[in-house]
Amino acid sequence: MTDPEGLTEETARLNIDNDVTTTVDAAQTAAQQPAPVIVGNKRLWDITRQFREASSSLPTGRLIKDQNFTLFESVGALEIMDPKMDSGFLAPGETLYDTYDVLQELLPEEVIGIMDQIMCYEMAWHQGYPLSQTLFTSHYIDRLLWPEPKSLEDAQFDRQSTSNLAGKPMLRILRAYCIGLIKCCDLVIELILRSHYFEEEDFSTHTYNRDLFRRVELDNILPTLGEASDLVDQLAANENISRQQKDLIQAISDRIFLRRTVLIAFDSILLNKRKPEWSPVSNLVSAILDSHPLGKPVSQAFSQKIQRRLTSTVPPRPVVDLEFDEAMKLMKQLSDDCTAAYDVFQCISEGPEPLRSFLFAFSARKPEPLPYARSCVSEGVLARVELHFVDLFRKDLELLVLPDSVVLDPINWTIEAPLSSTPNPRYEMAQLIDSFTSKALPDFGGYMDFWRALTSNRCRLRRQLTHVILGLDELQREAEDMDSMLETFVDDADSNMEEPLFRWAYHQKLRVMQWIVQLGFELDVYLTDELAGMYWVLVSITRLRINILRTIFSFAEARHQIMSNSNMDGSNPRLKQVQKTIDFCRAQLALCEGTEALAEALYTLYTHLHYLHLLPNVASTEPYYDPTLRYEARMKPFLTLQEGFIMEMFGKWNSVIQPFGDFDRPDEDMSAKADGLCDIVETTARVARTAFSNLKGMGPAKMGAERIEHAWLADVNGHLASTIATQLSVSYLRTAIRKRKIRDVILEIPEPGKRHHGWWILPKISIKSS
Amino acid sequence: MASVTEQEGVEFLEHYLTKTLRVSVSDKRVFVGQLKCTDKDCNVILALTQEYRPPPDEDIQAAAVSQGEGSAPLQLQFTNRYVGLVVIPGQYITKIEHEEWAA
Repeated sequence: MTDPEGLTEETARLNIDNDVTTTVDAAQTAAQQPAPVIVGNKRLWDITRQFREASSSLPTGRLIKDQNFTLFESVGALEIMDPKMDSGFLAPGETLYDTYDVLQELLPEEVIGIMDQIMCYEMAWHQGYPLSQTLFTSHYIDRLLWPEPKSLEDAQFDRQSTSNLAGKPMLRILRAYCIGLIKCCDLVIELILRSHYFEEEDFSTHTYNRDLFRRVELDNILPTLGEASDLVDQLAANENISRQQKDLIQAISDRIFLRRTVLIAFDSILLNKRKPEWSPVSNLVSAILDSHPLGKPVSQAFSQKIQRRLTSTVPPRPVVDLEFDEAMKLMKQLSDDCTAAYDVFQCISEGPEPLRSFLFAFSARKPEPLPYARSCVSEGVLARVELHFVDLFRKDLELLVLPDSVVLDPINWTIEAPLSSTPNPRYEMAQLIDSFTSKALPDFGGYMDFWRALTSNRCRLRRQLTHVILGLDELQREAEDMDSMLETFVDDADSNMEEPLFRWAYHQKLRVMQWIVQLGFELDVYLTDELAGMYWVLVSITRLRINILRTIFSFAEARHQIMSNSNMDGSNPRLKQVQKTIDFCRAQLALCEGTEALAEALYTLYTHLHYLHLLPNVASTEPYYDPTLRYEARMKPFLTLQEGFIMEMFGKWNSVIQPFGDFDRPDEDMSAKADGLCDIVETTARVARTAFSNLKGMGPAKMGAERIEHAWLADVNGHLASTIATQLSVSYLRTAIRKRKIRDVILEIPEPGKRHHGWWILPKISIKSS
Repeated sequence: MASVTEQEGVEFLEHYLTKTLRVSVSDKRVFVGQLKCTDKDCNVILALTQEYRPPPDEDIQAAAVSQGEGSAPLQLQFTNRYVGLVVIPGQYITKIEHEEWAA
């Protein structure tokens, strides 16, 4: 509502109500009365002078603000004219956008330069940088994608021109290349968004409202790349061209072929699980690296100012520069990782152990696989969820606790509910296993989460496993009840182990606990002065696991004995199943016994080093250091578990880490003990060495690691080398003690990546030569 | 001009809270948004702001050349984009206008 003078009703009322303010009102009306400027359908009053006067009357610190507007909100406001915040801010002489003529025909060497630059940006994007700071800085890509093309034909460098780049073969090739690239990005984003967990934390899927040809099928894109290849062939067929030009054309041809290969590989993993064909990549990469110097960089073809059109609230950020060699290395790595990732499909059908060892080995690959490669794995494991997890779970039970058992006989699931009141045991068993399965599978931290965790990278693996143990702990509780019910249905007590479900859950829980501690070593979670204590925890966990495994092992052996006595020959599938359990237990036992012994050796060694004051004692010099609190912090993932020894240790932790009293004032004469301690380390390390050599002798098959034989062998060799290094260290230590040269001892704790095995942090001891 | 007392100033400014203002800054851009907050230094916080930018001088010249001699005024678009919540420091403000729909 406005009155004739252009004053709002409110202002008018203000004038009448407040007699005191007449002077201001007079000033106001005087300024506002000159008729407002009318622009379009808006009226404007210039209030600059009054506004400034009014605001300068305010005391410092006084804010005039809308009562619904909080200062908290104001923190999010962008400051205009601040170059770091104001995306529209221009330095003197700076233009808002860079101008670049995308229709200017290019030289072949320039096309190579642009393609190689694009390649660098693409790999930088794969590493996790946003598209805006990488690929979207290209003028060519920007023109193809904005305004949004309605079809592939619509995606042109210049929509107005009808010539369709006639007579500009280089631009046509570049356009095809860019279109192939854009579709690659689309396929990558699609897969990564499908993988269920966290990959988007490592990877930017934001496309800034650009449609990356999501609706265009690959079959429509490939012909475009095909046309480009034809064009290249035509150029190459010209006999009048020089040797040098031939090389240039070959270089372009290689780049198009690489794009095509990658595009098809990205597509095939998404569609029908066709094996992606990555094999040409490695040759192409070396050819492209060789021809890279032929290219001529065209830096004007890229501009960081394009970012202004992508987001309005962020000023352009620096473009990510990745060296070309580095980019090609990443491309090669991507192709290797993706090839390896494809094995996951076979591993799933082979059972839980092969899958587990595969996933463990995959996440341990160095350098760490790119998010896309990890997504390929999680796609394999998680995409067809319902289908295989039940199957996998039953196989897991079968392998460890129910080999050749009537409980898991598939016939049980074909029996209908009995009409009479007498229960059919087989039907009831199937019901029971189903109910156990449904408890184990979907819950937070359940069996599915376990597999999901295994598809993550190492740090997340450790974090997520701490959730998984909570689920397993719960399951272990449920399993006890179910076992007692199961017992009533199984009449043939000889062929079934006692408490199978409980044992399975408990063993799985201990196994996961063991991994959490071991991954802690690998990821350098613990401080140097905590190593002794943490190896002690590892000893405790493996000891419990060994107990279970031994029980299962002796049961399976007895069972095997009975079956062979009853004239079953070795090829009998039932006998084979039991044999599989025996093999598995044997291999796991060897691994656990080795782990237990070596952990004990290291516990003793580190404790000894503490008393010799050879280890930097970081924590205990801090004013608020309290070993129990430290223990609580490290045991946090385990505190809620129904696991006796973790809680019991609360009172006794000090006696674990300082068995002979304070490091500075030991209760006993440590020099008398020194030899004995070294003996313990030596003996236990020898035990570990024997156990690991046993394991190596058994081969990868028994642990379901045939597919990753190399990784498996490297793993076992790492364990073995660690035992030998421990023996070596302790012999040096012994010499130093005997010769009373403790002060000359040089102690080194190798960093991650420089260890024989990530799980064994070994003190490297040497003596200063005098 | 008689100096304005604090109370008068407050009343004047409070009157414009949540009203639409056009704030021009020294680099010729214009921000149109709702006044949310201001202070002694005339720093202004606008919400739901659109940024308008005049066409660069080269474009104006180019347009003038291509149109040739004639009395018709040049037609060139301000480019605009949404910038949301912004704070405009008082030192850069060259003009403040109050905007209203013409009935």
